[in-house]
Amino acid sequence: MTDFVNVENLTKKYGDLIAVDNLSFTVKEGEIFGFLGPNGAGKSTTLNVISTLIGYDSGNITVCGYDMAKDERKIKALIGLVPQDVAVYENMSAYENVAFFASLYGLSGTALKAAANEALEFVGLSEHRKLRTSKMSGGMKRRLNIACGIAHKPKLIVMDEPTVGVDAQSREHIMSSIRTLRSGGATIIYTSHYMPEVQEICDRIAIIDKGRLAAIGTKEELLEIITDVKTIYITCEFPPDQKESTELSVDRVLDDLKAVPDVRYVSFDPDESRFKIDVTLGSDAVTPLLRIFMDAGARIHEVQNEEPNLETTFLALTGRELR
Amino acid sequence: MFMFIRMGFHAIVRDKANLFFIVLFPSLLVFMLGNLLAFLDNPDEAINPMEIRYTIQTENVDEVAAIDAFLEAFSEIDQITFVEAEDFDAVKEAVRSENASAGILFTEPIGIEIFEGSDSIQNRAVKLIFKGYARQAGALTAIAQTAPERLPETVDAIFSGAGGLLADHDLGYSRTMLDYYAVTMIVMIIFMGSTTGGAEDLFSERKNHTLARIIASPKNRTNIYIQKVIAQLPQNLMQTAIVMIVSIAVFHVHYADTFRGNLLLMLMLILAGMAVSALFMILGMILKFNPTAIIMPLAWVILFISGTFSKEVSISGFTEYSPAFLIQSAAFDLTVFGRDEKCLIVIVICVAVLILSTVAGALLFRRKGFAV
Ligand SMILES: Nc1ncnc2c1ncn2[C@@H]1O[C@H](COP(=O)(O)OP(=O)(O)O)[C@@H](O)[C@H]1O
Ligand SMILES: [Mg+2]
Repeated sequence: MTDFVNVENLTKKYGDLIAVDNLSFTVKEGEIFGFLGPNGAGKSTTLNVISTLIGYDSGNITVCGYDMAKDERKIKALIGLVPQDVAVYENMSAYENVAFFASLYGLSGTALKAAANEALEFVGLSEHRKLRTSKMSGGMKRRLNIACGIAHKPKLIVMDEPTVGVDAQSREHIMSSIRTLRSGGATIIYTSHYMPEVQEICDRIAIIDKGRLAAIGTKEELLEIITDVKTIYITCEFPPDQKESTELSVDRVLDDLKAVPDVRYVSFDPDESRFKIDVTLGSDAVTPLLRIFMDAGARIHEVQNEEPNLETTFLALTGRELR
Repeated sequence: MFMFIRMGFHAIVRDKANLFFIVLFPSLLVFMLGNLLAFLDNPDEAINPMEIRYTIQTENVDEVAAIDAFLEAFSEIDQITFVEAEDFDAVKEAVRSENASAGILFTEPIGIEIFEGSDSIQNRAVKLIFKGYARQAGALTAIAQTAPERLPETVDAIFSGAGGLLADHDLGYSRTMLDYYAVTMIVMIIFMGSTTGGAEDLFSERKNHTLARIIASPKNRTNIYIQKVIAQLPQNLMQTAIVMIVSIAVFHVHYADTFRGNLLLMLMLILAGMAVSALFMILGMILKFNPTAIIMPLAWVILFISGTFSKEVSISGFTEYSPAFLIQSAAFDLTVFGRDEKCLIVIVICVAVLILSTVAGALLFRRKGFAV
């Protein structure tokens, strides 16, 4: 597969804030490329630079062989944008919205009609083509937002969190339509801070944090980078007859857990009364962990082992939880 | 190519608030002001029917004939009846007891004494009638003393029924309050509607993120911006045309005398609207908050000092330079006096502002990043 998008040393600043910091990656033709990172990581900023919405301070970007600095308009013609915020006209119908945006890409007449109808069909809004956008539900608007970005059959589709705030059914629909777009030959860049989605549909994933690239590769490759981490969940209870309060006990247990050599990361979920402990894979840390709990007088209900996943990968790379 | 213009039209007819402000509100204003001002054009209070009793003391035959001829002229007016009485004391008593509205005593030589009743409006009417009579009598006396040979023909002229000395010509200059307010209303709608319409356009496209899509497209940005300016036309056309048509059709408002004049007036008002729209589109690109918040108070102040709300308001040093005032005075020059120079000057200025604002706006629009 050839490189379709090539980003080299991209830096974008907002005043003193470095939103994207010397970021480099490539997207291969025909793949779904996932951008994963917490809020404020710089995902949208990167996508906005690629889709020519904002300028950048330094770096080189090529799309389909065109240099952004020289052939911006040629690049624009290749891209279909699905912005993070729903971008449609409230006082126009579904069809009018799609047709308007498609017309900006030079479509007209019967070709425009066909393209707009096809896009609406694609996102499952055919029946509502005449419906005023202001009367649509959030999920329908999200789907219309996608239709507006793809009607002109772009070679590169840039989707910024297309599933934010949609119901499960719309999410499924969106997921499967992204796959269909890929099989239709499009290259897709996709951002999300929702891990399962990215794991489900992306061929390759870039993890970014604070504007920097933390890791890049296929899901399997990323998991390999940190195969040395696994997660142990321990659900327990501190009997009420103790001298100190539950909070104090939890704090002390957390401190003791952190002191164990193979423990990478610990957290406590008070709702489920559950500790989450990332430990180095292969080390037999479970015994010293359980000892800490017993010393603290905790009554252990359940111990769960979780094999490595992207969530732990992200955590291992950034020291932060994704959501 | 016409997508933006169609959208501008959609934005008007589909948004209830826009529809109200651009179509319904002006029509309503015309309607309300029309009814109100038509009422103001009538006298404040009607004069009740009155009976005036009079006594002629003079024995002079000519004078008695003159008085009779004068009073004869009122026989056609049903509201006023003159009744002659021998005893003036009885007349005064009748006025006092409100059986008569006023008492008149014709004394010698050509003197008039008026005894007023209790109705102040009737008193005013009586005074006016006899002031006219006294002047006329004074003039006749003067002629009698200086050129007695001309007296008969003068008297003939005065009392010879059809107009006599008084010729009444309609030069078509008579204007009602509504004619004034119809013009100022259009100016008001331009400064309220075109300002907010222009500023809201790109502001709302930024707010709804649709501008991001437009800018991401390969369409030339200058081209897009010019189309956006042209897309202001439906609003400006509609708001002016609706007021003009409704006011002419329903209230017979009189604009210019000629078709060409009306066309020129409409062209000036639409171009003024376009210039204002284009100027305020720039505001919609740079403001971080809803532009209407500052436009509305600003527009009120400008309109206020321009005499838009009342022709009595004029602040020297401000009013004559205010754009709203200049447009209004050009319009009145055209409609009242049939002079079109000012109108043409305003058109030239508006076109210049339109072009300059479009160029400046397009340059701003080409900047990267402001859409996101
Ligand atoms: N227009 C802007 N002006 C100033 N700072 C911005 C702007 N857009 C984004 N940022 C900042 O840049 C950083 C990256 O933002 P963004 O790319 O939106 O993150 P993400 O999409 O990953 O949530 C954030 O700290 C954000 O506050
Ligand atoms: Mg984002």
